[in-house]
Amino acid sequence: MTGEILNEQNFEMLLEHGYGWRARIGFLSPGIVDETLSRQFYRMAPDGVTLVRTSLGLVEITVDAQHKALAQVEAAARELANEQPDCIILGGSPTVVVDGFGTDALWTKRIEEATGIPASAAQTAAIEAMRLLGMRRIAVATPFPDPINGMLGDFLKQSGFEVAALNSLGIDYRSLTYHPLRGGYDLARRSFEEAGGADGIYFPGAPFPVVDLIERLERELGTTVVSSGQATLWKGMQMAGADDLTVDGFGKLLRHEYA
Amino acid sequence: MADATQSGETGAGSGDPRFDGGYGWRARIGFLSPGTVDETISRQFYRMAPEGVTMVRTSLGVRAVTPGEISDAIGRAEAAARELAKERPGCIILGGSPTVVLGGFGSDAVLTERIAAASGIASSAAQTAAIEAMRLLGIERLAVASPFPEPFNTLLGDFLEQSGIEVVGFEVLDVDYRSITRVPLKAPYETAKRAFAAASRPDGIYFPAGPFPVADLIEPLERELGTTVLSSLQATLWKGMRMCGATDLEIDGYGRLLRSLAL
Repeated sequence: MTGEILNEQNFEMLLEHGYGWRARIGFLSPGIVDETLSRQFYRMAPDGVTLVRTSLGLVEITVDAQHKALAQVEAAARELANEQPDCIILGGSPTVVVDGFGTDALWTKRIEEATGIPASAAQTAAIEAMRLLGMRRIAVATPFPDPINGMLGDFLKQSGFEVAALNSLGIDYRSLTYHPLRGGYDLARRSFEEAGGADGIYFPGAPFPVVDLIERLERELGTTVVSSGQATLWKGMQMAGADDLTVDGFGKLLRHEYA
Repeated sequence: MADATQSGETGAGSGDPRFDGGYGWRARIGFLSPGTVDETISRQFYRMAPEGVTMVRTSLGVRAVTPGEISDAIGRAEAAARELAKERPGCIILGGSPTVVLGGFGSDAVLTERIAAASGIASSAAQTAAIEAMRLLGIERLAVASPFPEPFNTLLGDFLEQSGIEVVGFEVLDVDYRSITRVPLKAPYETAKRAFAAASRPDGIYFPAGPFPVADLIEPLERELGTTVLSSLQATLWKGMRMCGATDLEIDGYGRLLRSLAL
């Protein structure tokens, strides 16, 4: 068993243009260790779409640690720019919610100025995605500790959403990548039930192991599900001009089933 | 129109091993990755890796492949291994040929021991894995296709010779190392064929460097040239799965080595 073997046409594209022949999505990834971020990206990404990732060195989810990570953003973006990705997306909800609504736009601008490459933020992408999918009243399932959850709730409210429920996984963040998918599943269902009639579910936290739950939750609950990593892929493909391509199996967003 | 054969379904609850065991339910392979930016390591790893096998990666901060930067990276290996250990991978593999050829033959064993002592987790090195793989597959006379700048090619040649492998062909891809993640695959493909053709009776081809975009060339080259092809990352996956005890399955499509997991 293995990943799918490339068809002849895609093999030709690899030979002529390399692994990222459709889109190379730059990503400033807060965490110092990566496992489920890349794993989930390559569950969803079509052939020819790659993630060009560097880390901001974050070792814990505290407000201080976010500020230290943010201090690395411009240098890390310049480092990424050496490899010429099509766009650069600042990862993380904590990175932008710690200083509040609007700071995602500020960081995006700084990254663009530092690199000359079009930029965005994962949180911006998620908000754009939720709007496009017609989500207004949302149930949030987060892997973060406090006070990040309260800050995220405020950020979402100021972005025009009604946060009908917000529940946290309540585990050590460093154990998140090896957490069973059941954790995200149960948490999302609990949030959705508690919300009593939400338009959709939002999973922040790109390393949160959830992408293989998206389709199932959408079907079981008759709702819409957005995750940070899924929204990043969607936004990155759009920014790289590869949005003529839809992806099946990971929710309405990547199938472009907008409201 | 995605070629996605992937499915986002988790199946019926606990019938899906990810549901209870997480994405790395079979094996979680820790990797100390020299480069500060990753693209083709993860891309190629998840081309080859079966479901349930993940890479737990952190960087050693290398921005340019120079002796000074590699030496600094080696100095960071133990702290990085402790950081990896917090996420409890099943093993830790030190990436890179430069990281071990700089210190010469035997330094892979020394570094492996230090990483194991710092982290408390079973460790190895990608270069060690590649040499073990060559021995397993009976490769004695080797053609090398390398993306490194000097002095690493000379050092790598010496390291292989001292490991008992006769280097009968050695070709270097002439590109800036920072651009290797986006080179079209025909570049390493042609470099490998040149190394093979120039060598006298080689038993196989070796692509060092985890990010070198070659995984999807392994099988075509093996078939076309009737030989055995190894890459650094392919050997890392093979070694990592063995260290994690995930040898009860075969991987098809990426060369003889990954079809030999149980050996």
